[in-house]
Amino acid sequence: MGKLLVIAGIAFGLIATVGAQERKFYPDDPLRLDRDSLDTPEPAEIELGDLYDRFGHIFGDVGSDAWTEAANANTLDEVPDSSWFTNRHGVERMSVEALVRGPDSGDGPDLSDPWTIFKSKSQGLTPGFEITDARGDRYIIKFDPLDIPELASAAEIISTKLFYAIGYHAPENYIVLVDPEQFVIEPGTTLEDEFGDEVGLTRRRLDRLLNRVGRTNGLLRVTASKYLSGLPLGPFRYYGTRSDDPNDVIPHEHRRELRGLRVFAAWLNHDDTRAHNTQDVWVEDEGRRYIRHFLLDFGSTLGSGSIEAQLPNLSYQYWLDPALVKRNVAGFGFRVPPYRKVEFPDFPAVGRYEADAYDPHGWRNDYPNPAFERMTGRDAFWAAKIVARFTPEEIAAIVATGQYSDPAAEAYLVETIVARQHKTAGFYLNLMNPLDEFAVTAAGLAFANLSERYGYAEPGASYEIAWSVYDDADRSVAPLSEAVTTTDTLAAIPSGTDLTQSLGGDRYLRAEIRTHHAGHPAWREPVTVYLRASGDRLAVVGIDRVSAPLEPMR
Amino acid sequence: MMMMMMMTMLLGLPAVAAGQTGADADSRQGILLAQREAKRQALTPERVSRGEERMRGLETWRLPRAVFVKGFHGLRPVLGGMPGGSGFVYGGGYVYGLDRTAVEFSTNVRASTLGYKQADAQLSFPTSRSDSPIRARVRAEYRDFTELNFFGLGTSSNVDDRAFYRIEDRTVTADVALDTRFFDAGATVGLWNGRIASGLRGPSLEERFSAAATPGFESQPEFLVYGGHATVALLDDGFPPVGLTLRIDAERYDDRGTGAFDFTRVVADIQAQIPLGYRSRILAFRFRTSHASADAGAEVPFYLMETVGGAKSIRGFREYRFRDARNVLLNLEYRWEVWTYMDLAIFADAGKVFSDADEFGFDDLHAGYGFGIRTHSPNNTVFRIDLSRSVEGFRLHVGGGPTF
Repeated sequence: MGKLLVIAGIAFGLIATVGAQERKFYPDDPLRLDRDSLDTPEPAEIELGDLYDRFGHIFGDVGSDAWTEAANANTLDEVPDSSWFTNRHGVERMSVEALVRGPDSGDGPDLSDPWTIFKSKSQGLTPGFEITDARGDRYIIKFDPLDIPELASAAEIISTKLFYAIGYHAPENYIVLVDPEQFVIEPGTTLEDEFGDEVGLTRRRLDRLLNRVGRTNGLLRVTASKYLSGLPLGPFRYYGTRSDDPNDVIPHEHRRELRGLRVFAAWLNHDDTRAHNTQDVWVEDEGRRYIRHFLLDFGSTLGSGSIEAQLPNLSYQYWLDPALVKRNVAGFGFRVPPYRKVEFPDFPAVGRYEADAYDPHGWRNDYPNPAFERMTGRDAFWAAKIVARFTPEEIAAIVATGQYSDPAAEAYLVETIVARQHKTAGFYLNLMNPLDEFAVTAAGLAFANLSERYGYAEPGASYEIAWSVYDDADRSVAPLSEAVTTTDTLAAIPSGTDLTQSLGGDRYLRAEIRTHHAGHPAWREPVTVYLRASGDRLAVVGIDRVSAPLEPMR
Repeated sequence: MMMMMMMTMLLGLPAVAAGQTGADADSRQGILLAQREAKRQALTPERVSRGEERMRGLETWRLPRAVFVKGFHGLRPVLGGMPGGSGFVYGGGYVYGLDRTAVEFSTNVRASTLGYKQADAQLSFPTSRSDSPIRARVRAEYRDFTELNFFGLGTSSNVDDRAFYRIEDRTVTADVALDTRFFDAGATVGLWNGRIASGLRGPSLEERFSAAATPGFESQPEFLVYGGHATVALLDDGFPPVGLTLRIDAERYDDRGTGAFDFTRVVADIQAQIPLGYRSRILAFRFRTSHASADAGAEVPFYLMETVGGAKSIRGFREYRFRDARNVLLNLEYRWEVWTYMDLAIFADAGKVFSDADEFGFDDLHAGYGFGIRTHSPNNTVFRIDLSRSVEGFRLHVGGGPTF
């Protein structure tokens, strides 16, 4: 009965508020923080099926039929902070120290007393453990492949810090050098052997497992991933919403930070962007309990495939793409899969990560991701802006946390991340009118041409600016003057007592800016900026962009 | 679609829902809060679908590796393991020492839908998990294959003369091998004791062929068998590996009775996998020739002769279609990648059997051609289907492992 009433209420609300839907701005726009922390009763823990997820996404049609713009962008076309994402380096530049620290709150597990293993898994040939340290903190311990030291641990640490700086919630991950004798076994701990059977973890079995791990001066190099604070609930899907989370009202495939993750994942070759590498956690914060959403497990990023170097085919094509298989069958071998043409570097610790053949929009994760597939030009533009923000010095500082023993490998990785950064940001910024960073100054409306700033386009753009008044009550637009063209990234704001007095309430000053550049005809699509008057001050309240059409992923 | 309708409904209720919850209806956050409050009134436990639950159950199933490799306390089912043309093969086995490096023992019994039986036991030390390049093995095997094909000797035998015979034999061998990255070699010594009899399916061999045309049918000696092999594998570690493999085998069969069937066999096998520009298209080639030379006054028994025809030979012909003391075989395949783990192939096979060394050559070859599908891991062909044609019609071969 209660549910019926709620549905009736929703339906009534839908009918009664059609007019309200059409409103463009609210007084609290632009929303910088979405308080999606409504107190939530204890949610269920779920486990997803790996094969079901994989084949369901390859052959099925998951996610909504609506291929629309993201549903959670604010009026500035940005992503507000939420339980999914926190704007960090993309909005306010982090210090190098903060970038290097990433999500870490301390120095990693306490080495002053033995670590107690309370859970273990063989993970194929590479062992993995869960331990408690002297402080009582719990960590997941992972190792590098025996014959490729540093591969997975460096990738895990570097990518954790980059994805955290971008804005995603990520666990604290540390590289630790540890003596094999550091480990003790909690009685009753079992080991899942390579055949999936549970056997008791004995010292002999532990030593045998640790013998499969490479050592540096007799010490084991491990990745220690701190337990997330709160109750783990299992992964989130890249589509739909959780039925037991009241805050989760926007289908995940329509969340911009999940769509835009495709751009970051391409940059950093995070091919394993699937539900299984995410975690919902029921956290407590300021007396409220709600679900926070994390990305996990960055061991399969950059050139690492966790237990081996990244497979050469992954990231250049889906693990299985039926349409591609059809083309290959008919191609009789004359159609060469692009990944076959790629030359990879000879740095085992880096693995298969390169920039020459890399195509940011042609990049593919392991298997279709409904959020990635729905990424629009605007989503990509938002992500590209963040990608472009990192300086080579910042990237080098983050890469140094991977603690490579070979300086040449480290230098190669920095160079490649930067090269892919330029390819990625350049591609998506150039697809659209690349104006951003609008601000009202004493001299007028200032803005930046991001493509020119970052060197992705030759200088020489001019800007055609048309001012008008926008009335949100009836969505009407009243032109104020003829468009003017300037080469300056500063536009004089129309003034006059009548105009000033007419603004406020539902009336906004509106600037439509088209960028003219010989090499980029697509930039002529306008960016429209809305200014709200508050007293005698104007402030940017909204930005409309026109999405560039993107090639579908399949 | 339903989800989008729900989202649209949620997004479309700001004023009323906000009013109901006390949220600020005239703010963006208030609208979102109202949507969330409304949803909170109708929360249901999050769960995965029944289909996904069932699929997860399958994922945690111990099949196939745990069951077929490790088994239950070492006891495990067995599929396959007999020569092509044996029918569907099934059985059971026991393994001890799967997690050990020093020694491993395994034993298996098999039967096939054609009524074939096979049993074996072997002791390996050290095991494949050891880092040692030297391995040793002791093996005992019993076979009872009841309806093996025989079409007569020589390269011009007639398919219509098809007859059947039975081989029931016991072999005990000991071998030692050195296995390194590019080179391996080994030596073996063993005893063979067998009985050749009428096929359980008619016509039986002796009903169609004379004793002179079936040397060794009437009496079978016990053989002391010894020999060795050497392989040079100039393959890289790419995916798939490309390069050249050369192998030579030499075996001596000593008739421990009268010496009437003493002979020596030498086999040369050359295989090449050549990328045509990229590894997504491979030209694979094999040349194999085997020569069994009987001592003066002795004969090579027909059941230990070389054959041509079958799943790993000329695929357009039946298993063991041509038989004689010597053979030559050529296989050529063009494989192209359609998926990282699947190739298609077109192939052509040719070969012949002959009795005298001076008949060696590439004239009068039997030939077949066809089309195949292979699924594979980075290092192994997991499953293979070949459809082949020859002058004797179409043959379909389904199985695991590579043709060559």
